[in-house]
Amino acid sequence: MRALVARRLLQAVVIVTIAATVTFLLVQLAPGDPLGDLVTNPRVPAEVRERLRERWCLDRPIHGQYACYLRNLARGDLGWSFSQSRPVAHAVVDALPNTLLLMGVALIGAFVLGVATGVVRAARRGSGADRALGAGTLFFYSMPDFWLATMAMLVFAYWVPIFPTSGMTTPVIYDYLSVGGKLLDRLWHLVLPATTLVLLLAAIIARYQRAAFLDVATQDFVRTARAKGLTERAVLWRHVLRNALLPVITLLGLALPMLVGGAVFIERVFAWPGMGQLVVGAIAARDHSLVTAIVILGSVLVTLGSLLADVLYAVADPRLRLHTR
Amino acid sequence: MMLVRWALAIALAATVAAAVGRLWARTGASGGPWGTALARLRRNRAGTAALHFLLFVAAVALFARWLAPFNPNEQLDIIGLASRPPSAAHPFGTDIYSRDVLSRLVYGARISLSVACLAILLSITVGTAYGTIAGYVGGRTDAVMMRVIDALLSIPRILMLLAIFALWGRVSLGALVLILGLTGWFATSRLVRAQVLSLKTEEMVVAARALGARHRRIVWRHILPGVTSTVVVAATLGIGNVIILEAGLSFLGVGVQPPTASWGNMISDGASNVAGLWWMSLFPGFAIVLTVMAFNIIGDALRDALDPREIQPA
Repeated sequence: MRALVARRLLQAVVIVTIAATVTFLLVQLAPGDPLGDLVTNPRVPAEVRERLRERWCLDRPIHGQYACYLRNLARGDLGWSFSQSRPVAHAVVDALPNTLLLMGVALIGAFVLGVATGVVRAARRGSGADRALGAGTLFFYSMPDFWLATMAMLVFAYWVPIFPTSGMTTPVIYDYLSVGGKLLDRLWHLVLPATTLVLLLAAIIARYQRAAFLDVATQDFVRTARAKGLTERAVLWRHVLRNALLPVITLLGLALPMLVGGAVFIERVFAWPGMGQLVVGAIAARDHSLVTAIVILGSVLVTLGSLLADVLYAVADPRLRLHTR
Repeated sequence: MMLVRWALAIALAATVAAAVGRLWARTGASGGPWGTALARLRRNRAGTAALHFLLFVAAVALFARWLAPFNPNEQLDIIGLASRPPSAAHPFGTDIYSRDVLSRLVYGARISLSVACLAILLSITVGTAYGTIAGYVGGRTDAVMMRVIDALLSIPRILMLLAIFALWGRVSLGALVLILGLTGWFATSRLVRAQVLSLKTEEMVVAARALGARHRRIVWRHILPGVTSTVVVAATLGIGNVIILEAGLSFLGVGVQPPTASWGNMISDGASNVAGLWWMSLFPGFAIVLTVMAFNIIGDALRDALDPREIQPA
């Protein structure tokens, strides 16, 4: 077990390093200066510019820059965001918790809904319920995230104004609320963005879960369970579902990139102050260091997610544990 | 007048569909793995309906000039006709510049479909080549090539695309296709490699090698035909994905640039004031959902049809 974790951790470091290298190459290939405006802005004194160049090693040849870039990354120094006029790390620290909150809620909701839908469909394969849920799943699976978010906003914030249109809290009023009221206000703002993400992700999970369930349901031990006279319910719950949940763990690694992508658009539509908003702003300003930092963070998040999925899988599946020891 | 043209377009799509259907019937009889698969695909009712719908969309895109009631980029009357809700003259309303939304939707189909199809063509070509090389050569080359794929797959695609656009700024349509195509082949290459690894140990390949066949011949005659079905399914399911991605990028203002209409930037035009201008976002969104759904249904149907496990003993 420990060997498995160590090996996967090493792999994760290699993967993130390669991803960081790709990002470095992209920046090198791109036109323009990594310091952006600061180079052309006449109000920035030459010595400030020189100091910034020195700090992020922009005065060195390319291999020196690369070494320095990796060293800074390893130390957690993500560079200077000229569009925000502060270190990238500060901007990230402000935005990341909001995104993680949105993604965490969506992830849990999507797994519950997705697994339930997949299991119901597989257990009643070919029935009307299977077909109706299948059509619904396909509908959400084929939908652009930003459009679903916009339509949800149109219906539930404008036509039937139950939920707020944007932000994390009600401006001004929020400061005068009690602790409970503040919590409720935040939850209220979370409903629409989180539900949108849940629906999109659950559609993906449900597709996998149905296939996994059907895979297990045709195996020999299920036939044996039926043959020894167990009720259908006992077979489905105790034999099929428990084994069919295993592949879902690997979906954790798959779901994260989609969640990150979805979060970008949904934060944009609902003006949710997270990483997605940060990256959209950074594109408009062509802020190199902010964008590359977010790309690398995204890669770290996804790699950690698949690492966690692998370890969980090994914990949950005794067969795998035996092999890797 | 307009109604007649649309009726003609639907009739044309139906004729093409009927012709294709007849072709199918013939291939189904010819047997072989592809013949069997097509015969099974023909029996899939949802798949057939989806195919008809796509033929219709393709016909609309192809004959946009005759089907669009107005010039898609013409500002008809910026004072009198801007931001009008759906009416008889403008079934899907007009946008903030008084352009006809239906006409833009029809022309947008061209952009959205061609960008997606070309990008997918590029990515499956690169992905198949990369995966075949990695799987066939094997050993350390394979290990290194696959670690690179792991790393590239660890970057969420949308973030990678946004980084590219942040660094290069707005790009032309050709560059957009190139960028979408070159960021989409990583997963395909992994699929192809897995397939090649298992094909490599098949008896036909071992026999071909024993007979002294060259690598080139083995790859073209024995390996690549074996991965075709995987690639075709991946491509069909991938097109929908790329349509959504292109729409998303255009929504963020970095994809297809105005005044050229794409379904994505049309949604974006209305999204800034969705409460007042809902028709501007609603209809292009439906166009995307229906088209992507059709591609996904066909992809699923193809996968079911090509999956040997699904073959029931007669």
